[in-house]
Amino acid sequence: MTRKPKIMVVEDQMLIAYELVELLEAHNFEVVGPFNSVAEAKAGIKATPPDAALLDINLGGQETSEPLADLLMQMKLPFAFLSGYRSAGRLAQRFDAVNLVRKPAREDKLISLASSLTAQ
Amino acid sequence: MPHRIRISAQDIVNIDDDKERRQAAALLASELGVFEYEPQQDRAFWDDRVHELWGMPRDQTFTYAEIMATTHPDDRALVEQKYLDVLDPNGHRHFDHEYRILPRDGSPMRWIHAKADCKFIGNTPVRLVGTMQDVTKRRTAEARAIVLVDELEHRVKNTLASVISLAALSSRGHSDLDTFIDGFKDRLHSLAHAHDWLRVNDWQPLEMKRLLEEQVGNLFGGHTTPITTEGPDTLLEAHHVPTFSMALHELLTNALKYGALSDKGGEISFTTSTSDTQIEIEWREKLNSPLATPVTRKGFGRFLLTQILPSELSGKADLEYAVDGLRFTLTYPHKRT
Repeated sequence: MTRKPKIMVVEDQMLIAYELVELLEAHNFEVVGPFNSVAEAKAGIKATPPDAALLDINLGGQETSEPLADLLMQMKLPFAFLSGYRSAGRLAQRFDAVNLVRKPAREDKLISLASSLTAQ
Repeated sequence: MPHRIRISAQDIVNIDDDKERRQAAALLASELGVFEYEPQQDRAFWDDRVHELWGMPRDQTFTYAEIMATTHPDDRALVEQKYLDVLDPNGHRHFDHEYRILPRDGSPMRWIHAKADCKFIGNTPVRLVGTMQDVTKRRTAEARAIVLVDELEHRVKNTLASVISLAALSSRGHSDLDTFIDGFKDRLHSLAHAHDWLRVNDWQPLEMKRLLEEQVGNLFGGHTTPITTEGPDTLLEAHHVPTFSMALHELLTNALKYGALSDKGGEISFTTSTSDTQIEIEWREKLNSPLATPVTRKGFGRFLLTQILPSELSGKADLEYAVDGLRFTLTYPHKRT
């Protein structure tokens, strides 16, 4: 039996996060999270290392998921950014070949993104 | 026969004087500084205003290198390119550019708008004459507008994403479309009100008991309700306000349908308490006459109260259906700074 792919969800708006969690679980992913801050996500990665991650860029207030992206790069774990900011491209540019998905994202797009990330 | 007007030589001098005075006054009013540059001598002559803009000592001339050293490093290459173009007999012979300078006297960075024409003798550029204006205020306002538009777009997109999630999560288990739509519209209205208060309050933290009052006012208008609030003022970060407002909306509509605000009658107390480390909120309903069996409900309201809200605040929540009324508690840590 093959193991379910593990994907981490980082999103500060939990309404959006839980819908994403439900969607991913319905498509046979195991979700790590959802986490709404860098600190919680870091602890989460330690406890249950994911295969890939979906990161909302802005985590409320001044915090962004940039430090998580750095950590995931170090760990060589694939990830994609989710954001409603048009300027989000500037952060995404810092990370080579990283996906940037605009919010609100379509379900089929999110699922194919999650599949391709966890297949890497 | 028409009347003849005699104009003396003195009058003409006066007219010329007036013209110069007018020009000088207009220049002063326009806040334009005048500069001149002689490329062959590498000398720049400036008026007082330009000296002031660049934070350079008056009554001195400057070289091209000195001017470039005061130009913002990020803008130098483009200024240089435009400068070479204006001195090129085959170029545009006109300079019109906005760029940043770092005044030599240590004043903060300024944006200047420089316009100049170049005079040539044959193919040799001999004199560059033009005006300079401080456009820092406008550039700052423009930069701020760009940030605001980006922020607005982000909020619109995020709100739409929330509404999509709300539709997906709250429609589960609903077989009757009409009831779902009514409830969904109410939820959207409560979300819309939350955004109104945030805007009025300029996206600053909001007081929880005030949020409750607003939600109550939204549902009941001016009618009195058996809801009492207790405890210290507790501020909620702006980005948690939409979820918290929705949670209050779920509690209120539930009480209206099945609890202390329904025809069963009863009272509700909303209590906040804080310690050094955490904030606790209690919503306690007291029915006038206890139920035979407690009403337990599943659905979006419960999910929002026990899962979504506590996760968002990194806390814990408990929803208890007792025979004498519902009790909801939420505990979460103070914001980490």
